Amino acid sequence: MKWVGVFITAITTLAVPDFAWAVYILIASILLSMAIGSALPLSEVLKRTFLVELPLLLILIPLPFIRKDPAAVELPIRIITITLSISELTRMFVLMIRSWLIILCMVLFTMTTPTDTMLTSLSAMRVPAVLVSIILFMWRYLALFAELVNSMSAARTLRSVPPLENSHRKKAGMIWNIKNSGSMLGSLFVRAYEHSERIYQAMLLRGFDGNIRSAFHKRLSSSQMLQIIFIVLVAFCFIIGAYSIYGQ
Amino acid sequence: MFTKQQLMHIPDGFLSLILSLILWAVAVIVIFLAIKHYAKGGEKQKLPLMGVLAAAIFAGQMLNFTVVGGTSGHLLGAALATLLVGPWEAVLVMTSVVSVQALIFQDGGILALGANIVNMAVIGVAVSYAAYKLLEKLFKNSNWGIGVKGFMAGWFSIFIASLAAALELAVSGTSPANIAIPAMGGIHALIGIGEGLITMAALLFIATTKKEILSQTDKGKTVDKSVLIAGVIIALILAVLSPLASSHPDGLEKVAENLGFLSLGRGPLYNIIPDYMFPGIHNESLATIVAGVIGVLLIASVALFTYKGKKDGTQKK
Repeated sequence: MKWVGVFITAITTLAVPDFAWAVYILIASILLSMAIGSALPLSEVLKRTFLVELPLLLILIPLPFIRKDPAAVELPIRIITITLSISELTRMFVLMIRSWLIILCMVLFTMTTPTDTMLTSLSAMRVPAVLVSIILFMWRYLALFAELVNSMSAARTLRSVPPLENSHRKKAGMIWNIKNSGSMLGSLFVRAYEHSERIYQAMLLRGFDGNIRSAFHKRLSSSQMLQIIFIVLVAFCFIIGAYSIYGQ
Repeated sequence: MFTKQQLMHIPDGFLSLILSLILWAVAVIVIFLAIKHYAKGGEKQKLPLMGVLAAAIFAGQMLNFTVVGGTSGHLLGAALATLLVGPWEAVLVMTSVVSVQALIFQDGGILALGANIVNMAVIGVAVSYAAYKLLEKLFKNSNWGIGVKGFMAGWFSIFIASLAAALELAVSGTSPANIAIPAMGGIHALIGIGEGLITMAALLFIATTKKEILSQTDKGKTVDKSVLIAGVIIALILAVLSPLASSHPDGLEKVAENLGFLSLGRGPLYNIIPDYMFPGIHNESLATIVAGVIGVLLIASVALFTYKGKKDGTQKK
């Protein structure tokens, strides 16, 4: 159910015309009030959103300077003349806002929903059972494999001289590094295979016959469907309203 | 530090809405085809393998290796997945990896998830499969050949997928084509070397320790022709389209316009006067109404939540 909400919010944010500031403010206020009401530490939520947003900023910031635009403004700074395209700047700004809003929405979602529920509710959204079970398997074993990666890396550091310190081995360093990482990865995969064989045996022993049955197989209740329809309508109104106010 | 490798996950807002939806549709179609293939195949044993493999790939993506002294790269894994479980299954595996990365770790947006799936799970897999199978005919299963095949599969998967991502960005008007395509292509050509090398190393490791799990290297295994052809076609299209697009960035903008008025690319066509930056200038009364609505909603929701919070608080006592 929450999935739908997140999705629709994301679509709305993207669908409104670029400069529908009111809509952005509205969505932001809704999301923020949800954040406040959710009893999550607000600083944590915001911190997370900015963490995700930051690499995006790095990509976005050069853009207004690069784009060829006849309406560009020239700013001479000392020797270098920097062309700043105003329209591009505003577009970049808009993009930042939009992506931040969507990220905020997703962060709220993930921070308020226990991961198990989040993943199992996928089946209620009619995601095929095969995919859901793969995702669930992956999630459960991820911790194990992350741990493996860490311990392998630690073992590697403990048992070998870091290649870059030894200058005449520098070139060999990279090759060694890659060979090494490849082996680590390979052994991860071999372990994955062996694990999965044991899992499959266990599944067979417990009656797995090829059909994936799930204990968490919920269908969307009718009240939830109503809620979904409601949200879609509201979003629709937002979009139409935004267009009528702000033209194109 | 902040050189966090974004790899190829495209965040939300970077792609136009229509393009995102189209790619979502493509992703869903391919996923359904992959599931059908799995259901028909009868190799039910593969199910936990796919799941655990996805975990291994996810974890493996956290492995950093230094490339060209200083920068560090990390791996996508599509090529390796393809070689271990077959192309259709690899699509499912990579889809799970990419989806969870997007949903739980916000590595890539949810609207853009369709696009990311198409780029990494579909194109990455198809192209690496094609590369591997084509080279197989050339090398006829020599041990040294496995390494080369692995390398090419890995390199191609990254490079072609990055071309696709760059094209999508350009068509959405987010980045000018003449910059995005060479930039992404160039960077990923280098990253692809890393991926290729690691794929090769991992492949060789597996081949020497447990050769049998490389299900795709059996000589007797029938080649999945459709995937092969698809992979080749995709690679060719992207390889041809990209230099064309990058030298004619304006043509691409025309395409972006024609994608409809929901496309982000429409922005710069309008003369944007800074005064219009804030609501209220356009139409006073409407703006005040909107502001009023916002205010009421804000207050109402805050009030509701604090009330609820208080009620729960007193009840807990």
